[in-house]
Amino acid sequence: MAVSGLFSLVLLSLTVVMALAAALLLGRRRARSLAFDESVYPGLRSLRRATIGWRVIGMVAGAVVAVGAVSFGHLRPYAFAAPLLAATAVVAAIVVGQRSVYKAARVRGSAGIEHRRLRDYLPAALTRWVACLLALLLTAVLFSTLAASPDDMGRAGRAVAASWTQGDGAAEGVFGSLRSPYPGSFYTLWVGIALVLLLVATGIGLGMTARRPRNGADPELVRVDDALRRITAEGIVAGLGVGVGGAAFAVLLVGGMDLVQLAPVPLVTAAGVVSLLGAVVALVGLIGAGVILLVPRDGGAR
Amino acid sequence: MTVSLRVDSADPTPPYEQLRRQLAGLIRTGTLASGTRLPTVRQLAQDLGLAPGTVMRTYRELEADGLVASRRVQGTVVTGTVGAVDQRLAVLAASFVEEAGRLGAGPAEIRAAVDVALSRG
Repeated sequence: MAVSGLFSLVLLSLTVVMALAAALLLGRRRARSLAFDESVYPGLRSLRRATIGWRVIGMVAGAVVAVGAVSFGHLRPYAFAAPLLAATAVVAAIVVGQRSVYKAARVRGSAGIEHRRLRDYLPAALTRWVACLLALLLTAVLFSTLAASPDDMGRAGRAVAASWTQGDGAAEGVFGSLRSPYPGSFYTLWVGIALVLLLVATGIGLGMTARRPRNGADPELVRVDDALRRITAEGIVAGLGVGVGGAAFAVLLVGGMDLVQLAPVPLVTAAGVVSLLGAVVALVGLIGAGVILLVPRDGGAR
Repeated sequence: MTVSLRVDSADPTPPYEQLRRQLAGLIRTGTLASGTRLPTVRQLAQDLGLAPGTVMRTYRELEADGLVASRRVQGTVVTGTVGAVDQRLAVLAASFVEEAGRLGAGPAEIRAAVDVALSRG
């Protein structure tokens, strides 16, 4: 755990710090580009402020949660779940922000005949990409959980072991090797719990984004509100991507390194290489989602 | 085009009836075409700041009038039966008035001719 765990922690911290700086600079500039008459629409002003502000608050909370999760507990059982818990904090903050301005775009007694559907606000490409990352994480977790063994102290799901025959004739012998920590059930149980939490928070957040009431009879309000909904949905999906991509990266990287160094058995080495290649894919996804989370777009408003 | 709905809390007419009249008018004039999906009860109630039961009652009454139909998957949809009949009648009437005008008939004669046709059943 020491080297790879530290590496993941440093990488995560660096990513978070750089992302926060970029979010503060670029995000605020992009948000200001969403122009409208603030004196006519004070509710939209609050909505815009909450949409951007709570996203930044969420990222700060997520960084704190990630550091806490990585460093908490004997043998760091929550380390692999840290990205998921951090993302849950991000999404939860966005949900709190949306809740605080839930009726800001509503004008009591006035409505438009319109159908607001979640898919109108979801970023299609990012959503597909995050779905792929989720499939990657589930595959990685399933494989590593099934492949894990007890460690040298008998703790289930904390190591990976292999045995092989080497030599010839009278010099032939059976050798064994064990590497720990390995992302078996000791760690992936918490990954599963954190993933459920994150998916629930994501579902609540996206549902709220589509359902939030508004005066659909005012085209200018609809234009700005639609853009803010797209920014919110994008933030939630990007948060999910960071969590899922981060967890997949951690599981695949640590698991892959363990397998590559475990035994001179071609099948085991090949599994390790595939795992490391998966880690590269997860890292690309993590960085992509992280950049989108840090730098909100203008929501397509013109 | 954005079609708007308004409910005036100062109006003594109950909110469900205000809504029903507006929607019925929009359907009869063809502003809401046949097949148009109305917002969900929950969405419209939240947007207007009304109780869901109020919007539900409006939709029920529109359904009883044959103007909308509630479908399991699509939700509440404009059936447009009345609007379609009105539109067809308007086209026939315009054609009849135009033809009568060519014959040199005035408004009073045209109305009298329609009354005679109606009385014959």
